[in-house]
Amino acid sequence: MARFISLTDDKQRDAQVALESARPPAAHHQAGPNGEDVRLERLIKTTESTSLDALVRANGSLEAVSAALVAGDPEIDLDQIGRRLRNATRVHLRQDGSVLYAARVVQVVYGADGTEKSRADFSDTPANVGEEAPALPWTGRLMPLDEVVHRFVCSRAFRIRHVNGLTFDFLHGMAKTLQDAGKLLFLGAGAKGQQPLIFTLNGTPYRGFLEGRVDGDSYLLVLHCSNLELKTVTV
Amino acid sequence: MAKAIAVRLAGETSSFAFAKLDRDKLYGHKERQVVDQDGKRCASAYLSSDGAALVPSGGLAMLYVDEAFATIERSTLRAVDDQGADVPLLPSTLGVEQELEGPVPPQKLLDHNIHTVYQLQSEALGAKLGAELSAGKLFCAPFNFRDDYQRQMLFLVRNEHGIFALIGSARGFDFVRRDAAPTPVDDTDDLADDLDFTMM
Repeated sequence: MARFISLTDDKQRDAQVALESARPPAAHHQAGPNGEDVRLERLIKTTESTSLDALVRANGSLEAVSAALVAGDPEIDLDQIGRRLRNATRVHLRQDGSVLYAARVVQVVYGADGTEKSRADFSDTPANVGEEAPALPWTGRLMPLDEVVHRFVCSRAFRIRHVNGLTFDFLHGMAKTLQDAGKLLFLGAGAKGQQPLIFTLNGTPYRGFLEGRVDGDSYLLVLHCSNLELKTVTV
Repeated sequence: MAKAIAVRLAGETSSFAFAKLDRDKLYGHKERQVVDQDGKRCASAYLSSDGAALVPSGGLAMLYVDEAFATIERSTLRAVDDQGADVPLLPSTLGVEQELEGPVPPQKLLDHNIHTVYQLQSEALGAKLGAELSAGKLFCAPFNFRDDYQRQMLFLVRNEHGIFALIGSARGFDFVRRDAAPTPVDDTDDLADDLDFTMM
């Protein structure tokens, strides 16, 4: 399903338009030795009952597991191995291998040095970009292209396109404004556009930079997203 | 010792040792953990649809099969294009001098999805390249970390923190006309699995 985004232009008019991901065509695919079609399958290799932890629990010690391995094949679950795993359900296991029925989810924050900084119950972070989210404001903060590419890594981008004739004019005008300025518009969420962009529930937060180009009656409006600065890691 | 990124500009050779720029080491990270009633961390697993198999992490094998479900050894797989013709394997560019293109405009870098960033440590930096990078110019060259069927692009960028290599592939966004066809239904949504396990 197409995604939508609400944008505001420099005249403080807002409109809902479409957001598209880049889909470069696959240059190749895998085939068998005679060119036949192949597909990737997920097969069960081992089950919880034959894991090392389970074998240690069942036999009492690693030494006893060794003896059991010599005597038989306790690490192979003959009923399950090789089965296709489809429509499986994600579950969580306690350290004793039993299934957890009442899970508590915590969010642990680690610092750059890898040490734990905080731990708290996890709470959802809603998306702030999309069909039902408020329009992203025109922040007016224009940044030279050179500055953006020397400071930020744009790892993701979306093409923004019109959904009807009115929004064509809206986006074409926005792209022309940005091209004439020769700059990118810093784009964020919230009333002042200072919050990072979050596209899905609990999604990755990004800083946005809107780029516009026009070529006669056509336009290209791209939302570049970055969550990484070009900085040196000092260990 | 790992091979270096080697480039050439105006007849001068430059080479760089490199290390991946790790976001976690720059900002730290957030992690969601599932714990039991005692606060002990739990491991994730899959429960098969019939409830008969509990598969722990690492308990799955991925393999290629043909129409008859016969296993195909990975070493016998071929990379082919849409017409079924073999696609040539492109060798790694590490340790192999690549001619730099540029200076290139910043739009060219913005036209690429950057998936990897390396911090560079210059082993030998040509005078011209050093001066151009210090002036804020951008350069690019073909890049492949390992042998692959698709060539990536490397962009050299220098700022006050150092020299970086940004590795990416072209996005291929076209200009949009008024009469362009409506957005097709996208069943492979790029954002569908966009779960955050990191921090801003």
